[in-house]
Amino acid sequence: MTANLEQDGASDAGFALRHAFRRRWIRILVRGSSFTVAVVLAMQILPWRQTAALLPRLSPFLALCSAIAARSASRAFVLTALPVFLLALARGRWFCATLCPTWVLANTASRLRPGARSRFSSWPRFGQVLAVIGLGGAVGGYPLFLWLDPLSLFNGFFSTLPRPATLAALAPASGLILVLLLSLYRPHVWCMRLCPLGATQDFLGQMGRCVKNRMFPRSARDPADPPPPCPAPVVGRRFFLLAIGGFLAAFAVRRFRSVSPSPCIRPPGAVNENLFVGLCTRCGNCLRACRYRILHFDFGSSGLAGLGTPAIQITPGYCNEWCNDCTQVCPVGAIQPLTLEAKRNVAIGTAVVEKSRCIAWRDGQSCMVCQEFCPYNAIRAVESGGANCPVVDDEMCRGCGACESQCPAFPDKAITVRGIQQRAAKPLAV
Amino acid sequence: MRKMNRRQFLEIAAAGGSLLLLRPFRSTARAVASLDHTTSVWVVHGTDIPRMLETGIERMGGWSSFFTPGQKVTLKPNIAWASTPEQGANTNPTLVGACVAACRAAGCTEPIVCENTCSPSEQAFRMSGIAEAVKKAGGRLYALKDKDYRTTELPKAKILKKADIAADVLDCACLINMPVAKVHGGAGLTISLKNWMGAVKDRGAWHRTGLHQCIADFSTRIKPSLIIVDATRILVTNGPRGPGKLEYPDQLVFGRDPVAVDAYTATLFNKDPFAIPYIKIAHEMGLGCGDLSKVNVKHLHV
Repeated sequence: MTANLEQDGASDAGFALRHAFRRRWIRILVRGSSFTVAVVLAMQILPWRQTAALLPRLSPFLALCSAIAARSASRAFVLTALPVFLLALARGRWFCATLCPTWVLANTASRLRPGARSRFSSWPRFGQVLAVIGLGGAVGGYPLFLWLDPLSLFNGFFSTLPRPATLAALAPASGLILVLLLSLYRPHVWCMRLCPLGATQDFLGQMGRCVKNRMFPRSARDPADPPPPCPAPVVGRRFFLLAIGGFLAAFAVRRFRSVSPSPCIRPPGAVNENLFVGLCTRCGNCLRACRYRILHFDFGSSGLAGLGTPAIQITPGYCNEWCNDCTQVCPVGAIQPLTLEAKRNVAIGTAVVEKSRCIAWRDGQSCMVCQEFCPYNAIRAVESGGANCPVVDDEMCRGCGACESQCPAFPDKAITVRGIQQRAAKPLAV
Repeated sequence: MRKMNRRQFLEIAAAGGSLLLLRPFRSTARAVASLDHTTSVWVVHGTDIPRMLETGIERMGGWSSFFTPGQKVTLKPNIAWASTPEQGANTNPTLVGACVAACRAAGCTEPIVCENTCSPSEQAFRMSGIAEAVKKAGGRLYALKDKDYRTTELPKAKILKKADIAADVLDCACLINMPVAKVHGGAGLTISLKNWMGAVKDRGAWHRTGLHQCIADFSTRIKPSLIIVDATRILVTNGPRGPGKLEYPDQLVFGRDPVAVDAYTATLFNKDPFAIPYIKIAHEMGLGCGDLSKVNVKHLHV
């Protein structure tokens, strides 16, 4: 089958390209440079932070699922994913061995134990199952396996680096590490049988071939040729059943609510919570971008559906008023890009004073540190018991947490930020 | 009454004499505090900040009365906030720059400027314009980190018995406190006494245990060689961070007595100095004179 295709395409540029790719040094050069670029982008060491979103945006799997779930697609995403999509229609899995950095790592790990038997061909094509369930889930508004996208896993590894190596900080990196361990245990199984991006490309390739065979039947060109064996139908009964399963699972997953009483504080620009937990690919770009180290991998305070999504934990830093870095790097638009001006005017939470802990309200101490640190003049002083006591102006409060981060009340802070559905705050005076 | 014999007379005379001997010491101590050059406050009016600084220092006795060439000079301006010079939340960068330059001209190789900022230090230093001003003038500006503090006992303090104080503030030949005057939600006003909160590690403890007493306590240990208050523009609402309403007294206030300097500056806000609890406490603890009727305030115009 492949041999046939290659003969057919002998004259086109694709063949020349693939012919060139047979040379080892060209292969090494292409893979090496694309891997290096991937690392540089994921590390966000370039002055243009937005480029961190480029790599995951290449994935047609992410593009399809997130566009369906959000019922919209950003132009940037379509423009980056479309070439990969089209090439997959024509050539199937061309992306993996050319550009995918996770492939480079998994392949290297797979070759470390040449004696290990892969036996991946005896495994069912789990990747396709995952991709189809994910698509079904996307229709239900929660694409289930976006976090298994190899490009997200790759970027997730780098989100850990600037943090102290605690168990929680290592969580986003665990995906790629598991893939590598799996590749050591069962070489090539990840790429060939589990990766949903690879499976999506397989699908697209099959589809492309079907279309090609139907439009240019081989028999019409050379009647002597027997009709090609039609590949298994791409969209069959199994596909539908899995997709419906995914659709139902999207609702089931979101039923496991969190136990914590107050909702998570999401990064500024986050879309509404229900969609956010679905769209987020857990790529960790925003975690890496956060200079103030307040974005953390969420361990279930937003329910099962929100596992691994970014959530703001105030202390010791807060969501700084001169920073919009995390809004610039989201590949799927779960966090919308905000200008600095827009970021300064969005409320991501609201501060609440607990009078029984506040040293001004309770003890009559001169404090007002919350008012002092508030970047938005959202805390007013009222006189009580001979001391100024803080009151939050809910319209002005952006929920940045500057107050909470500095509140001297001990052991529990007297002013804390609760997550809210993000909304525009009252514009700043002056 | 029994007649006193010679021995008794001598005993009483010795005791009384020694009491008399004790008294002069105390009164000398007080006299030192009331000497013109310590309690007087020089107020320089004008808009040309480098010239105002020059004039003020001249009247205070010139740089040579604060340090000799080669000695270490530490400046503690207020660079707490990520806020522009026009907003008045930080010390005027022109003043800091001019002072660093003047110290260098007077023989200090590299004046040190340090601050435990409230906003992230990089932002505060950049937006305040002080990073650029200090660099241009040839000083060294840095943000205080955990390693830069030294735990220090404050034996004369009432509450703040121990504090982690910036080592460069503790060990220098000449310490210049260079606050900006502005209103403060918690403390009422922040001028020179309160400016030291930017030279300690744990500010929260001050708030928890009694802010005003801690502010006064700190000055039992740290006595600056010179105080220069930036009252070129003063934030009168939404302090200490702003943005808020500004007024423009166009003054620099020079002095050695922090209580007197703060008391005078408080009047720029139309406040009675003793209405600010820490000024009152500091006055009562004998850290300086907050009673303006006893302070020699002299005005100059340049």
